[in-house]
Amino acid sequence: MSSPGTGPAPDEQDVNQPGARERDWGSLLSGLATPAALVVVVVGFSILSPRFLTATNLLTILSEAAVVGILALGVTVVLVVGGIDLSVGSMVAVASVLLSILLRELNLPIELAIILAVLAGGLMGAFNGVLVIVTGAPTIIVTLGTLSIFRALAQFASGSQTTDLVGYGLLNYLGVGRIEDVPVPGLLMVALIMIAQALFAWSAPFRRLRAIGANAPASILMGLPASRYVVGAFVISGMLAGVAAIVISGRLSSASPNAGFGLELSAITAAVLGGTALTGGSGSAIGSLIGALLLATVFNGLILMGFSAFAQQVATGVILAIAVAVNMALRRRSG
Amino acid sequence: MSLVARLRARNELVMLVALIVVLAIFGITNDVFLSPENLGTVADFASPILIVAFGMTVVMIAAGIDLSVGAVAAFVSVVVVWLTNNEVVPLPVAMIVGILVGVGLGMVNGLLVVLFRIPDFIATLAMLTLLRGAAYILSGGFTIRATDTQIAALSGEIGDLGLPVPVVIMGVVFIATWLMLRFSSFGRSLYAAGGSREVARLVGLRVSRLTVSAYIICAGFAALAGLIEASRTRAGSPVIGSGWELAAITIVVLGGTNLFGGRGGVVGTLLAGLMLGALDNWIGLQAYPAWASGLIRGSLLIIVVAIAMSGSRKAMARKRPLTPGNAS
Repeated sequence: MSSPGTGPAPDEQDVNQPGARERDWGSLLSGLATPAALVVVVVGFSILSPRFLTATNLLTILSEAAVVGILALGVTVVLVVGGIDLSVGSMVAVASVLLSILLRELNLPIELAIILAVLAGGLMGAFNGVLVIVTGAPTIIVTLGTLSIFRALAQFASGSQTTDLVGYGLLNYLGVGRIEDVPVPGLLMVALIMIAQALFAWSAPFRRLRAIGANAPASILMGLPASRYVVGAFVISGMLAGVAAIVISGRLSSASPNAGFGLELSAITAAVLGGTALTGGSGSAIGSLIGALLLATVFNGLILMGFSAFAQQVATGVILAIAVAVNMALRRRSG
Repeated sequence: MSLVARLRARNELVMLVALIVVLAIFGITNDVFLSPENLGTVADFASPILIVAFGMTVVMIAAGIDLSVGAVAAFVSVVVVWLTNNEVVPLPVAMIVGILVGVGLGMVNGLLVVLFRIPDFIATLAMLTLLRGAAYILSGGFTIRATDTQIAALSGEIGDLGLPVPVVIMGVVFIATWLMLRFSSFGRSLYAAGGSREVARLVGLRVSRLTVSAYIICAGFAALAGLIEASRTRAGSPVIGSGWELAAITIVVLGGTNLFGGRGGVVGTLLAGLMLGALDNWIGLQAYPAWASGLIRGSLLIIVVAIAMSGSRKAMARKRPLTPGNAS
């Protein structure tokens, strides 16, 4: 990849491009591509299926979006700082297996086990980050390597066995519980994303992530400890993978070394649909929420209309290509 | 320069020595490993992913990446078996159609990247998702058994030598790709375009056309690998080639091809692919748990790239230490 998956360099922009007004329209529109797609999809399904636009169904969508949304948030943070994290799916597996060991073999209290599983996610994230800094290797390679390593770790620790996690109240609550009909995992996702959005808006360290992602050399020249921020971003991604593992384990009432298989690409899809660029420096927490909701909505709507679950994959591919193509076209117009 | 730097310049030689050492260790620890039959099995089973990796090498030399290879293989396998089972066309024609479908999908990949300016990672990720779904829909979600058993010919053996057909196909693809990259003007242009798109454009190369061609070659090879897998299992299946995209990238990078274009070649890819194939075989023979393979693959990838980066690091990593991507 020329630079991280950027594809061909855009044509040189005309230096004398008229005015900043058009530029603002372009970037505004490109930020609205996915929300607009979400609205179109919701309206379309509402017309096509009478069962779509009900409170129950919309809450189901929220619940279905939770795991991908939480992972997408972590991936977004890493993308913002200019990296990529392919290992999230495997970290989910390790955290899930660890949770089962802590609960079933060590008989730890559930609260403690959950906290430790999330911390283990953070530890794996730190491992990713430190490897990136120490080796100087591209993040896509390091996390491709740890994707294999963490998956191997999960298989090793579990003896490649799936274990039951039935009868753990809090775990079940986090996976399938409801507060006034609203699914807990959905609330958890929204809460985490709102917190991240607030941090990106108001917290200086989070804003620096964006600066580093946009232009690392300049950030380093300005004295930012870029390495620390990179490790930090990976730690956040790892901890969110830990949270996602809790939700999955709670939903399935089991822990499996195969948990989270392939979720890295779903999470990246959601993040990119949310307007986060692979080139670093841009992206938003809300975007990953909208991206995850879009994926879950399409899945839900197609099923309601009687399509097979596989049609969702086709639709996702098409939506991803169109959304990014439109986005690129608008950005080119706007410079 | 340091020893590491000198060795890096002789990457393919290092790879060859490493392969021999690894084979020797495997042979010493396991009596069966070095038998001709077993080595034939290693090459046989490594062939499909190697063919995919050769295509990936071409794309990566041109500074691209193709995540859709496994899905292309699955889709093509389903299409070919579907065509023959429904007696639309006879098997040989269906196979040719399958390759052409692969070529067409590669062209779509290339056009998404060149024409619509979608970043290659995302364009081929979208194709991965889409084609996997399409393969599931076309097959009804099941593995479909081929009614024409002639399909097995593609994974049989040739003559009295007992040479597996997949290995022969892989060998032919390897030589063709090697000659193309090394001696054709198209091949040399790919390196130029991958090394610096701007410079290539300025010297008059048609960079967009080169990029699209690279994706076509890659998807065509993936389709061929899909046919071999379909032949081996005598069926078309939507799960063929799961994870091939990341496995192929691992092999190509281990083989010394630069992730960011302009450098590398299929000799390194061949040696790396054979080494990983031998590793999996040996782990199976020794009855070690399957996770050992993942652990070794992942560690090897990081270590090898870290060593490869260590020289160029001071120069380049300072500039862009963090991108998913930092240049090497």
